[in-house]
Amino acid sequence: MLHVAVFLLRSTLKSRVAVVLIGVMTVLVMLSVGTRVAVVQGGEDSFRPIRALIERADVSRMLALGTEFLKIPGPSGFADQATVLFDEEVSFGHDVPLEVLSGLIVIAVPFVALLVGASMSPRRGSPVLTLLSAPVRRVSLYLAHVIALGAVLAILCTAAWIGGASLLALTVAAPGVLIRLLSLMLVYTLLYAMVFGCLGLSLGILFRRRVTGLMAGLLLIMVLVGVMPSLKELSGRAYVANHREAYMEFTRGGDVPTDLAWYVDRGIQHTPASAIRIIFWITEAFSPIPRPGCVTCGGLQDPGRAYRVKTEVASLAVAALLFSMIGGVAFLGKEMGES
Amino acid sequence: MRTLFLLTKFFAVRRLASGAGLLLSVMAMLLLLSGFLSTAMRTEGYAWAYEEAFGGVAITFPVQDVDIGSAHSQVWAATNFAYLHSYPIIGGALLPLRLAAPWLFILLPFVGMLATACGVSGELETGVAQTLYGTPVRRAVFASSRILGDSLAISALISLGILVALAIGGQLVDYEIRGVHLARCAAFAVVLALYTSIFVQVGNLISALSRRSAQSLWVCVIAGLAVIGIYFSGANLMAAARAPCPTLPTPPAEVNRLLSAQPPGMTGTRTAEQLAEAGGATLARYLIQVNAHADHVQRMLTTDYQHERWYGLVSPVHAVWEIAQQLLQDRHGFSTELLAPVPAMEPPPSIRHSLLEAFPEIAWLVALWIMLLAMNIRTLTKLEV
Repeated sequence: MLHVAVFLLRSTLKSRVAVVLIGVMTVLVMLSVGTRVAVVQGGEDSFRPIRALIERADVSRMLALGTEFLKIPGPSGFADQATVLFDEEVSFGHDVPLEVLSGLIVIAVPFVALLVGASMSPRRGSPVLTLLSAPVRRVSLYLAHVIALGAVLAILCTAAWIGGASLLALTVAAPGVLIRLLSLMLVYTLLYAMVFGCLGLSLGILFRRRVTGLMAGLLLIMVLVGVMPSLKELSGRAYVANHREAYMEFTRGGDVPTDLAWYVDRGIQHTPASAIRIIFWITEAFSPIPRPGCVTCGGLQDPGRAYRVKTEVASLAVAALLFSMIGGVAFLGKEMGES
Repeated sequence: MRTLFLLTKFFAVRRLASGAGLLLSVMAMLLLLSGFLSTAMRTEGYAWAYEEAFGGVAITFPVQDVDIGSAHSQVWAATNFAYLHSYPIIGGALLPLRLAAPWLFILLPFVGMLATACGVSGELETGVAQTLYGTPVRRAVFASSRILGDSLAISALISLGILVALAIGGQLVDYEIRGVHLARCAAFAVVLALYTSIFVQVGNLISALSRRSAQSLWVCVIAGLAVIGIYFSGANLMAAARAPCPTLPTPPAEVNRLLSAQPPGMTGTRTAEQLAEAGGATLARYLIQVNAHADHVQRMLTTDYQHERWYGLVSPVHAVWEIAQQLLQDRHGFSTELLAPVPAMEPPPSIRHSLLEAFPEIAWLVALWIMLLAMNIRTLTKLEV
């Protein structure tokens, strides 16, 4: 099986476009992070016309209302958990745009992983016909495809990591903490990429026409990455509104609710994009500053339970396993040589 | 001409009848529905936050935490907030489309390229190309009809998806969706179709040049990543290039005392006369300074915004973003006027007016489309079968 995986990996990496893609991943992350570093290092003096105009609006309004001349923070907790970051200025000396890296990963990785998975799926035109005649069990053959896919995605994620980490590490005085933080993020990114890679692999097997499989993949990406995070917010708020006591009890470390609504809500909260955002948010909270707690769903959570990423990691692993199993079952069910 | 028409019809019908076409329509529909969902989520979230923080009195415009960014991103965010914080909600279907638009800008290039990435290369691999290109039809006609057919079909599929989503979303929301909003949505759907068909052509070109579907797919991934990279980095570069924003003049002690003073019972607001009486000449001078500062910032914003439009022309993503800035707001003659603050236009600006404001970007997209068509015709004419 490993031999087959190595063969597939070599045949993929031998392609010039694969090498170009790895280079593009590095440059893309480097460019996005680098330009953002240039922006955030401008700090308070940077171009923020909205803030300036609203300050003016505040003065006029506050004069009329007689309200104290204070900045009233907006309800940013509802925007997105991933945007609620810890104080990087205390940890690293100045603002580090980790949110760019997280945002880029959440959006770009699914597309890349899906297409890599689809192009590596065992179908006519790939090395599968040669391999099918070899004395290898079909299960092993399929698993070898999954392993090879994992290896390609790991290379791509590492390329992106190098692009982001090298620039960010140069901007901080003590890069050790940052490198540790980014390494953790790399592991989780790979898991996230595997979810969509396995999806692409399965869709490549399930659909006879490649373009139909890819469209189905894009549709699923849109649902999982675009729609579910919005639904997560609504669902969480609805659950807390209807089961406030049970939820508060849970957040204080008490019993886990057992009602159906809880499981439905947990399912919605743990779709891949939501899970990776929570993981990043908690991972980024790896900081000497105590955090006030999770602001999602309006309930404050005790740090002990709120800062575990076990369930999110498990949900990503389950999703990857599920998508790879769908492809595996379809592959085993197909006749030899059928595309 | 008849051959061109028949072949265009053939390619369009083939695309319309495919499973991928159906999925594309569903995707466009779900994208816009996710915008409706996002609108509901955000309005409910802010209402909840206001209730928790201020006992139900919405007294602040919570964009103080808007991230540092280009003039375009700031204006886009401010318009979204202005629409989200209106009561009753203004803009009808424009707000959901605004919230879904950034997704469309990223997803549609992938959709366009992937729809055609395996087209020509697939025909070459399966041998269909030999039959197709062996027919007594001029290659240029064949290439033109392929591009036109695919572009028309994909435009129709996206428009259908948006139409269905508007019909469903309109039933689910409790705010008014007027005819003028639907007309703006329709105009924007046409722009999106043009934008997608640019990438349809890019996918077709990649497919013809790479000649192998697997390779074509990888190149499309690279092109898609480049689109995302330009989208993310472009705004950052434009923001980094901006001059520092002048800070608001510090209020004198007398004005600070006035600001901290609570009017009796906190009922009602103080009129300009009452304020002038309480603050005297110091307050008057300070208010002049504040107004001058706001005017300066506004002029700076408008100048930088116009500069960014020129820089943005390097990428179709920024061009379509600018068109969205003008088309998906029906309050001001030009989108930056929201921050002037200039009162909303009465009567509201027409679609023609908004389209004229975004004319350079529309013209650029059309020119790009024609340029790509010429490149496709040339490539397919010289294609070795």
